[in-house]
Amino acid sequence: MSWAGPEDIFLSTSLASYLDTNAVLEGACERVIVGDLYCDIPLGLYVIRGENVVLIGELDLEREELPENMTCVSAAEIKRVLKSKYQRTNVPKIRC
Amino acid sequence: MLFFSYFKELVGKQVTVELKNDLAITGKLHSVDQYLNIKLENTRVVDEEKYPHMMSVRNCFIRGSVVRYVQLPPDGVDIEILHDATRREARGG
Repeated sequence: MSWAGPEDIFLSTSLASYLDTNAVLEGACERVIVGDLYCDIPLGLYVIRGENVVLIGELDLEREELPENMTCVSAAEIKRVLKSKYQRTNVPKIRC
Repeated sequence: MLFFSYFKELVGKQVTVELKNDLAITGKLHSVDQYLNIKLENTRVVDEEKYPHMMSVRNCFIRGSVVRYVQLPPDGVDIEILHDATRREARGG
C-alpha cells in the first residue's frame, strides 16, 4: 500500500490490487461507434482483467440506449467507415 | 486510509468525477472502497453529445485507478479537518 513504508510493499498485495476488478461477461459484444453509425460486434464469453476496467455502467432499460439519429450498420460497413476515417493513420482494431 | 475515510464522509453528496480519459460524470456518491473505487447513482455525463453510449447509464462503478479528479460540493469540504488529518497521517499517527 502506498502509505506504508517501502518494506511493507509486497508483490502479492500490489498484484491483488490489480486483480480485484476482474469481470466475466457472458454474451458480450463490442459497440463500435463512428460518427452517427454504430455496430454491435458479438464477442461471446469475455474475461476482462481488472486493470483494463474503466467504468461499469448499469443500463436503464426504460431509457433510449443511443440518440435517435444513430444508425445500426453491419460489421463490414463499420469496418469500411473506420478505414476511410482513419485512412493512412492507425485504424483501431476491432475483434471480428 | 485518510482519503478513504474522507470520501466515506461524502457518501450521499452530489459529486463530479473526472476520469483520466476526460470523461466527466456527475452523480450521487453511493459508496467508495479502500481502492477509492467509486459507485455513483443517478449519473449524468457532463458532455453528453461526445459520449452518446453513456446515455442510458444511470448507476455506475468507476475504478479508482482511472480517476483524475473528484469535484466536491462546497459544503462537503472542511479544510481544517482535512489539514489536521493530513498532518496527523504525515506524523505516522
